[in-house]
Amino acid sequence: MSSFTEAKIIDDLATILADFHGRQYSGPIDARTRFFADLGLASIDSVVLGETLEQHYGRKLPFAALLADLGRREERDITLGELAAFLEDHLN
Amino acid sequence: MGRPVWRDVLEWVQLGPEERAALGSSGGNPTRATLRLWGRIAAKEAVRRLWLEQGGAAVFPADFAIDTDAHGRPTLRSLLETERQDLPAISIAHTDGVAVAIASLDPSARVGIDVERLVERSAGFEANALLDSERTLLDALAPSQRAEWVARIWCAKEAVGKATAFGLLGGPLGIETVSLDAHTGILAMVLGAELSEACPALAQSRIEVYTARRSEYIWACTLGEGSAR
Repeated sequence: MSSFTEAKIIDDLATILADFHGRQYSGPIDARTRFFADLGLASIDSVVLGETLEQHYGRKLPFAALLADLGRREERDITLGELAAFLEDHLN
Repeated sequence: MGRPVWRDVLEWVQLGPEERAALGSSGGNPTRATLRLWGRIAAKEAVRRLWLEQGGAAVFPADFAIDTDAHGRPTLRSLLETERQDLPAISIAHTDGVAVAIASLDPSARVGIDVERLVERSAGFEANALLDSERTLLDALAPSQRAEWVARIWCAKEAVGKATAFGLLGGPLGIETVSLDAHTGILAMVLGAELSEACPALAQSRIEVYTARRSEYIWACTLGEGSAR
């Protein structure tokens, strides 16, 4: 059984992002919230969030690959649900 | 509380009708909207100054519109001479508290600019944002300079990404700093495989990027020029 469920990870993300430098958004945070368009974060913030999540979960995660994937997207944005799915894959 | 009066005034002076309507309907955070407005003002001002230096007639900023393509790359459009294709190339960047822009009279110039606040970054940040070879370049600097040069390298990557028109395709590790001059602030950057394929015009170049620090901000800009690899 997975110890990190997507719902738990979304909760973790909401907690971390509630006090995240650079955030320009005060509405509710859920799986559909977009990192750039909704939270108002910048590219550099995605690297900082990666580093924050590595500290939070106490392990190295392949954020360089995630950032590379993000750079290839037409929309250049990622929802917290997608980020949670990435984390779930690599935490369990 | 409503939006500040100064922003209404600036929008009327600086933006054309389409831009005003687009900015007004874009919603979102008011801080972001203000930064977007500042960025457009900076870009139009850069263009106006270039033209004035060339002995051109003064133009009003609201006579130009700035459009953005699918990747967010800005382009200038004249509202008075709608057929004009020779308008300057522009690039815009902003971060909390500041907006910057660069313009080149050459419409085909591959311009790019970025600005970030100078912040001490951790080893974890460096591992995700910088290549090992770039960290080796940083190791050669005094430890007290490291935070500033991490920021310069980051801004240079963003500026080069904008110059290619594809942004950080392949992530921040897809652009490599191959040399830095701590005296002049000039960096040489090369594209990785993915960006090289997307932007063959710059694939064989060592792209020169100018970086500088002003107060607590670091900025970098490029004209997409340089020497052959």
